[in-house]
This record gives sequence, C-alpha cells and structure tokens, in this order.
Amino acid sequence: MEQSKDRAVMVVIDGVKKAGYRFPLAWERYEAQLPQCSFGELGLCCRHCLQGPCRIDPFGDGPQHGVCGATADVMVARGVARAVAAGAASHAGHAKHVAHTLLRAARGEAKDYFVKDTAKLQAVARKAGVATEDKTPEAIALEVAEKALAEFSEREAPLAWTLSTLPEQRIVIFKKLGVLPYGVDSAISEVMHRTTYGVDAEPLNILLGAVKCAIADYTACHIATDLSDILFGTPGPVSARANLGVIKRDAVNIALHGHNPLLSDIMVQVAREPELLDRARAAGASGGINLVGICCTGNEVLMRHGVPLATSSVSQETAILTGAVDAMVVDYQCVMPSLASVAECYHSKLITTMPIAKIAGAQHFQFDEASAKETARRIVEAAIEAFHRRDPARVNIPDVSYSAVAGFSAEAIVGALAQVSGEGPLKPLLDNIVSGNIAGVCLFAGCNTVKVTQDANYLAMVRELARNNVLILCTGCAAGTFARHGLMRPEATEEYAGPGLKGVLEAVGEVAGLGGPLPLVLHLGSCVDNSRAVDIAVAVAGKLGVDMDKLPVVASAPEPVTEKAVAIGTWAVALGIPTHVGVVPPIHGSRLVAGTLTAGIKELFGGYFIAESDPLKAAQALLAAIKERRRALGLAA
Amino acid sequence: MGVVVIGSGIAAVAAVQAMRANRYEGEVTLVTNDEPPFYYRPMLPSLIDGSKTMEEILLTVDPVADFGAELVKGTVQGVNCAAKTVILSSGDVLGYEKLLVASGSSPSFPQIKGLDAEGVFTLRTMKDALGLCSYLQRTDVSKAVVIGAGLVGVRTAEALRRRGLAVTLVERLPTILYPVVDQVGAAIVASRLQKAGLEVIVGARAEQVLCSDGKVAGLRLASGEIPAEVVVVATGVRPNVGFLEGSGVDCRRGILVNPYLQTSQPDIYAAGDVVEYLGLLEDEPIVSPLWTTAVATGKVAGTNIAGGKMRCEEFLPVMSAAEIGGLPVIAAGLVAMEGNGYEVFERREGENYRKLVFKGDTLAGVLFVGEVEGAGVYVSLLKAQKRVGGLKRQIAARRLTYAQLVGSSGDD
Amino acid sequence: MDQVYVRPERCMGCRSCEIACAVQHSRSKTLFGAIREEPLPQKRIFVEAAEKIRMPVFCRHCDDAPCLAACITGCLYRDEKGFVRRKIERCIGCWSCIMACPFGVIIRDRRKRTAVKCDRCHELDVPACVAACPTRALVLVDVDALPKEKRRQVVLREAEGA
Repeated sequence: MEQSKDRAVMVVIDGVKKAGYRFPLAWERYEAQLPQCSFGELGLCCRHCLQGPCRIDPFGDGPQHGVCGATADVMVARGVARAVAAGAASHAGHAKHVAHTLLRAARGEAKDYFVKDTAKLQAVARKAGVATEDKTPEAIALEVAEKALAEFSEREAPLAWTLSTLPEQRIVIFKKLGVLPYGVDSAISEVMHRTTYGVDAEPLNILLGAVKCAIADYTACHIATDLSDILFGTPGPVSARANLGVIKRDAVNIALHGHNPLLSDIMVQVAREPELLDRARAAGASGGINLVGICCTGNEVLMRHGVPLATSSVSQETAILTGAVDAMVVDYQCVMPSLASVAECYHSKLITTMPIAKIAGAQHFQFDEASAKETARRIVEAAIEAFHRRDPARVNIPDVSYSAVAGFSAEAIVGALAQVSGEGPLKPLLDNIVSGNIAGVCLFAGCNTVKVTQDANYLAMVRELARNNVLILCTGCAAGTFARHGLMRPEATEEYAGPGLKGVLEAVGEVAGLGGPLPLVLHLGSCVDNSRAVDIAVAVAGKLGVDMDKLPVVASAPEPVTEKAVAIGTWAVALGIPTHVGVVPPIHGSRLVAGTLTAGIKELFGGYFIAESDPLKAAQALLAAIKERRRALGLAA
Repeated sequence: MGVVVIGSGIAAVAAVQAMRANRYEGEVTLVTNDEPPFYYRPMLPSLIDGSKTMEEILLTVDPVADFGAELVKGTVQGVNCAAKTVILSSGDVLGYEKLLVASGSSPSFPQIKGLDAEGVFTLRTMKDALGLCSYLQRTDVSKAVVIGAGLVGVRTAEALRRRGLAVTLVERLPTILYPVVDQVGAAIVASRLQKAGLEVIVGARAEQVLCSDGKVAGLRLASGEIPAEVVVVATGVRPNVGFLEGSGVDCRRGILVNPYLQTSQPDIYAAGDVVEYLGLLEDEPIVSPLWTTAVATGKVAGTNIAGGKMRCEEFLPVMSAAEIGGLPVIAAGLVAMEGNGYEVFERREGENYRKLVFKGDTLAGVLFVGEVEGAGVYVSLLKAQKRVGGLKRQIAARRLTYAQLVGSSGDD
Repeated sequence: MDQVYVRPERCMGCRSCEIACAVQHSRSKTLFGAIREEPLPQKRIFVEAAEKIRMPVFCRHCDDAPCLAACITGCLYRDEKGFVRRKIERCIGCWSCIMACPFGVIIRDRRKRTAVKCDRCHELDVPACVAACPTRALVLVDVDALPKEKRRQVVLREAEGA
C-alpha cells in the first residue's frame, strides 16, 4: 500500500530512502506490527482485572466467557465505553487547561494572557448564565472560568454547557435515557467505574454509559472552543499556505505540534519580536523565523494567525525528514513518541512543554502560563541554536504547498451569510437547503491512519459529496488533509462543487468580499472545534423548528485513529447525526454491540454509525442518509 | 518366483506398499478368493444402508496398478515349506522365495441350529454385503435380528435400521460392545441405539434360528422368540490358518511370530488378523483383528521381506473408533478392566463419558464417549506405556494436551 | 521440504494462529466475514499450554502418519507436496484418525460429521498460521537445508513427548 496520497509526503519519504537513511516511520512500524491481534481487532480481549487477560473465541469452539463470566457483548461494550472515556479525558484535560488559564488571566496571574474577544466573552457568559452588566471583562472572565471549571466535577444538576448549547428536544431525550452528564470528569470516572471488575454487565446499559460520557466529551470540547476564542480570538477567514513546502530553507523553522493554543499562540506572538528575528538573521537565517503548524495546534494557529500548516497526523515525522525543521514544539495528544528518535537523526530539536507529556529523548521546556512568553522565547532561542547545526546537504523540502482559506468559525459563517440576507443570517442557508442547491451538510473530522493510504478516503469522499451538492465542513486533521491538497481554495469549488453548491459558494463569497467563491471545504478549526459544527446545526434546527436528528446533516471520520475520535463519533450519533467511520472499530466481536451502534441506536437517538472502509460506498451511504432525511422533511431528495 | 502374498486385505496391501517403499523390485503375487479383491472392509455397513456404493468403498490404492503386483484368484489349500510352494484348491502351485500369510479371518459362528437357512448372513466380505443387500431388496423383509453386539454387529444393526427394518440386537454378554466399551459407556450407547428404534437384548443366548420353508422366520432365545426374516451373525472372527495345518508353520489361535513377524519358517511371514503376537498389556500373546493392526503388521512384514529390519509393536486387544447411535466412541487398551491393581478415573457429564484405566504409572485403558477430541494423545501415551508418575490425577482431571506431554518432559 | 517449525519459547499464547487458521478455512477468508458465517469456520491449530511451555500444536504431516494408516475410508491421503489431506466426500465420521493422532489435532465438524484437520494451506506459499504469528514462533523451515546438527535437534524436539 502506498503510504500517502500527499505528494509532498512521498517526496520526503523517497528522498530519505534514496539518501540511504533508514528511519522506520509510522507506516513501517505498522508493517512490523502485522498481523495485528484479531482478538483486539474484534474487541474480544479484556485486561480490566488481574485475572486476565481474557479472550473470547469468535469461532465458538474456545472460551465464550472471561474468567468473571463476561460475554463477548460485555467485553466489546466495555471496550467501546473505555475508549470514549479516554477520548473524553483528553478533551477534558485540554478544556480545563484553557479554563485555568482564563481564570489566571482574569486574576492577573498570567500576564501574557488576556481577554482578546470580548464579544465572545459576552456570548459565552450569557449561555453560562453569568451576568455581565457593569462588569469588567476580567470580572466576567473570572466567573465564566469558574463556571467552566465547575462543569468538570460532579454537580447537582446537568451540565450548564450541555443544556445551553443543545436543542430542548435533545435534552428531553437525553434525560429520558439517563445520559445527561452531571460533570465531565465524573462521567469519565463513572465509565471507568462501571467497566471495572464486576460492575456493569448489561451491554446496552454499558453503551448508554458510553453515550453519557460522550455527551460530557461534547461539553468539554465546547468549553475548550469557547474559552480559547475568548483568550485568542474567534477565528475569521484567513489565508495561508499548507503542506511541507511551507518550510523555508532560509529561515529558522519551528513546527508547532499538538493540540492546545495556549503555548502555540504565545509562540506566534514571540516569534514576531524584532529582537528574536534579529538573532535568527544573525545566525544566518535571512528568512527570519518561520512557524509552521502540525496537527491541531497547527489548526489553532492557522485559523487565528494564518500560520502555514506543514503536515498532519500520520505524516508528522516527515516534517523532520525535510531536514529543515530546527525545532518541533509539542504540547499533547497525537504526538508520536517516535519523533524523538527521528529528530535525533537530524539537527532538529524535539521540545516537549507539558508536565503530563514528556518524551524520552526530547528536550523539556516546562510550560507555565505565568511565564509563557519567557518559555516561548527560550524555545525560539533553542531553535536558533539548532539552526546553526542544520546540514544544508540534508535539506529536502518538497516544492508542494497550496493556498488555503481557513477560519470559518460558526460566527464567521453566520457573519458571511448575514451579508447575503437581511432576514436573519441563516435564511440563505435554509433557502438553499430547501431548494436543494445544498443537498445537505457533511462534517469531516478525525485523523490520518496507517491503515488507509493517507488522505485517500478523504479525497475520494469529498469529491463525491461535493459533486452531489453537499456542503463540506471540516475540522482537525480532516482540515489538514483538505488544506494540503488545495481543497480550501476557491479554485477547488470551481473544480469539484456540484452546480447547486457552486452557485451558493460563489454568491456568499462574492457578498462576503472574498473576491471569489467560498472554498469547497470550510475549515471550522481543530478537532476540539467540532462543537462549532454543532452550533451551526443547532441554529439551523432551531430556525427550522425541528430536532437535530431531522437535519440532512451527516458526519464522517474516514481515517480515524484516536479514542477522541471514538468519543466525538459517539456524541455525533447521540446528537442525531449519521456518522461514518472508515476504519473498522473493535466492535465486531459482538453482534449485539455492532448491531446496536450501526442500527439499533437509531431508535434512541436518530443518529447511528456507518462502518464502511470503501470510501465511495461510504459516500453513497452518507448521500442516502441525507436523501432519507430530506424526504422526511418533505424536501425534494 | 518372488514374493507370494496370501490374502488381499489391508494387511496384504500395506505389505506390498512397504515392500515397494523399501525398494523390493521383484515379483509380488497376491492370491485371494475375495471378489473384488481390494476394498475398505470396515465400510461394508455403508453398503447396507446405501450411504455408499460399492465403487465408493473400493481401496484408493491398487497393488496391481500402483505397485505392479500380480493377482491370482484362488483358494489356498496348503503350503509346502520344504518345496517353498503354495498349493491352490484348483491344483495350481505357486513357488515363492518369501511368503506372506495375510489370509485374514472368518466369521465364527455360535453352535446353534438353523444357520443354514436362507436369510442367514455374516458381514465379512464384499460378497456377504452384496448378498445381504440383494436379499433385502428382492425378498419381503421387514424384520432383522443381529446376533452379537460387538462393533460389527452394532454397526450392521444400525445400518439395517437406517434402511428401515425393525431390528433386534441380541448379545450373549450382559453389555453390548464388550470389550470396547465398559458397562457405563455401553449403557450410554445402548440408550442411543434404542432411541434410534433398535431393540437391544443383552444377556440372552441365541438358541436356534427358526425356519419356515428353508427361510429364516425368527430367532429363538431362552426368553422367547423374535420373529425376523433375516438374521445376521456377528459373533466374532477366527484367524484363517486352517490351510497351514501340518505345514510346519507353528500356529496356536493364530500364527506365532517373532517381533519381525517371521513365523517358525524363516521365509514365511505373517500379517493382519492371522498373527498371534505379544500383547502390550497382557502376558499372553494375542490376536488383534483390527484395521490398525493389519496396517501396522503389513508394513512391518513388507519392510522385513524387502530386507529391512523393523520391529512390530506389541498388540492391543482394543483399538477402535466409531460413531454409534450418533455418539463418537474411541477406545484403546483394557477399557472394561476394574480392580486387580488397576486404578480407574471416570468422568461423566450427560452422554460425555471418559474413562482412564491406569496400571501403576502407565495408562492401560482409554475410553472416550461423546467428546473424543484429543483422544489420540491419550492413546499414544498408552501405546508408548509412558510413565506418568504423579501426573496421573492431573491427566485424569483435564484434557491432556500434546503441549503438556512436551512440557512435562522437562524440555523447554 | 518446507516444514512448519515451532519455537515454543517465542509463543506468547496470543492465538493469532488459531484465528488466522479459522479465517483461512472460512468461505470469505476475511476476519470480519468469517465471524459472521453460519456455520462458523473451524481452526485446525491449537495453542496449548502446560506448566513450562505454551505452543501451537497442529498437524505435523508425519512421514509415517498414524491418521493415514488408521483411515478406514480412503478419505485421508498424502498429496503431491507431501501434505496429509482429506478427500472430504469419503469421510464418514468414524473418528479413527482422531484416535490415531498423537498430537490431538484432528477435530470433528459436528454438523457434517466429518473429520477436520490441517491442510497446510496447500494453496498458499506460506500457511496462514505462520503468516499470522507476530513473534515468529511459527516459522517455515526448509528442513533439508538445515545443517545436520540443527536438523537432529529439530527432529528431537519434534519427537519429544510423542
């Protein structure tokens, strides 16, 4: 199998191979893992107690129960629930980190941070039930941060962010099914509790526990997005370039990798300081300091500052293989430990920054909000120092990059639409959905995986959907993929959009003053920002007066990797959205669980999973789901 | 000249195969009165219920086509060891350099009247089976009695039942399938047979085959009469050694041999049902009319005739596998043995029954009814007479696996 | 001749070989297809454990195969590559081969009442179990190419406990 559809990635891999270096990258490590354990693939192993590991024989002649008596159904359900909990824990950690920073900023304890977006602060405060009259932004921010932090421990009442961001009908369903979380962390810990030795052994009940935790995950994501916008600004359309070609031969290149904007945003500010720029130039980098993004940290700085995106997810190691990345600065999540050994083979410095995410072989610069800029400066200095040791002979930067228009937050989209119509910003969107110019909406989210040629599923699916007039939104490494392949350009709209969709994107782009159509794919943000898509869907549902499970809205994670993707997928389903996954999750060891997640759950929430590894079949399934919903709404399918 | 083989059963065929495998390239002549000569004898019941045709049970190896043997039809009347000749009843005489006696065995009959009536059958040869089949076809037969509830009797009775006949199985001993199956196993199997519609009468001596107009009309037992139109006698077999009387080849029940299967005449070997040889578990030599014995002795005799030096493993009195009444049964060794220095471990769950008989530190008997997977590991342990020492209880308690045998040998 | 050779010290007891075997002997030949088949495919390799050892146990396709000698139907035969295989239509489920196999690796197809055993994936270059073994506890070895001493060790191991 080809590693990647991304030409730049292949150029770098081939270059390294030709040079005779042997670095086992993710793809080779995957090859070495093959065959992967079938029990794991089916979800039929359990290590939850010390009597295990237990496995269930899917072919029936071996054991059908774990030592405790757990059946295949129970094991698989527990596995799903724990994956959701792990995903939720990641988002919760991210969100709490931002909340604490906002709190410290409001208290004046983190001088490098301040309320940048007061409009967003007002809006969030309103939703969180924080009074804003006659209060300074800092005072409001303090209360908002406290409110946010209170969402994590166990409360007496359901989560404020859940209740205030979702339609009432959804909340009624959640209440009825007992899946309204009363605390983000408590929902996570509840899953850990109920899936431990000898607790919940009713597979469907376990799955409901997973859904509850997933809704907590959604809530955490929303908090993270809201508070990040307050601190760093709500994104609006911004132009940048994407792909490995953005790395500059003549500059000190610093790659920002991970997820959180807390350090990376500061890095952007610091890297523009004249003194550091001078030092870079003095070191021989005539191009100064060039920040590039990787993964979702890359998305955060792309959408707020137009920092170019180098690469994403599964190809993260290839950035170092260009030989021109002087430092890769990472926070947490999706950061492959292998980066340390790849960096070791070059002059590149791998710099970890988070106390909970160190990597053996990396250099650690402990990050503290109280001294953020200081740490950021030291990191830049370290990168300049590394630049000295760069071997120009080993530099191999592929000449591949595309322009991209990013930063379509819900606010930005609504803002653009508002200029089209005086009758409320959502009117044009609704009209076009009703008329069929826009058949429906698909949100692409998730990662890149070694199990699929990088980007292949995204590219095949997006063309098929766009051709059929589906409006495409994206986040995370899905966004990275589309940016790297030039699908966030107006040109892509001309090339791939169906006639109805093209008309709409052209009209809105024109009015919004973009000087051309909106890009084929609208960049909503990092993976934590999937909540932005929910905001749009909720607004549309509200305008239509229906619940979310009636909307012709679908989601897809065609190349998922992380447990966060499992959590996001699960809440998307709980919010009523048909959700495609392109890599088979470990659920097929239980017909009950697999059947419930792909069919039975529809009865409860309206959403369901579509597990399909063939991208064209997946696109057809999503189109069929959109058509089914249009028909149910009385719209022409 | 060359090698003459008396018989065409599996022992004879295995011997020819071994001769050729050991690079004996001379002439081989098989003398047989069986027609057709080569077939899977244990498959004969499959002809009766029609599950297989005659063609389907023919041997998949053909000594004539595959190994260049010559086939002579005829019945052997005697052997002249001095002249090294075999005399046929036709008067023909075959000279040999080496002779293999693999003449098999014949049914033994109970001493009762009426066995000459039309409708009395045995099931030893293809001819017997085809005769029975055609009799069942052309005569108005609805009831059958099978005398003798050994493996052949039981399998024949089942086949007749499957064919739609009302079948009564009569056994002189108190349990069926002795000595393949012990009392407990016999009860499990018998109940299956009864469920299949067979009547099973044990502890009953057949007294007379009842006739009417020279045809079978039933069977008289001490307890009463069983009406039947056909009687199949399956009361065991005896080695075919009669023709060796006075030849100078020492015989008792069967032909006495050394571990290389040489008889008292150095140029004459024996294989199959006719051999009387050391028992693995007994002090006395025994005959072992089993398929596996026939194959093994044929191979040993053939190898040695071809100039090899191969020892024959000691005989087992029981070494049988079958599916009876839909239940798999595997038995080896002294299964029905109790007391007298034997230690018995039994485990039964419903119709699954497992019995292990130990003599001292070694396995002497193995019986599996129902779940038979892995039985071969026990059988091999028994055949090797491997000392299991303290592992006895463990072996008895769980399913013994090959890995345990390797693991317990102390070699990692 | 290539033989499947076991290195018990490398066996993790993961049963990947069992799963791969069952999948290879399914109709769909894929994991996710196989687990949905009716009837389920049967594996012919068995990971067994004892105090000091764990290892996959499977048909050795013995030179002097006891199962072949015990078969009363002509079902078992040795194919042109030397593998002991089944002419399945001949099997009547007499279980003689199960009785004869010292490795205990012939099992029953309970529906069809036929014996089930390893066919060494005769249609594949590398048997599914070998391909599936993550630690290479199962390897394909050209026994003829082994040096004499090594071959003797292999043979000794093979004979151990049999």
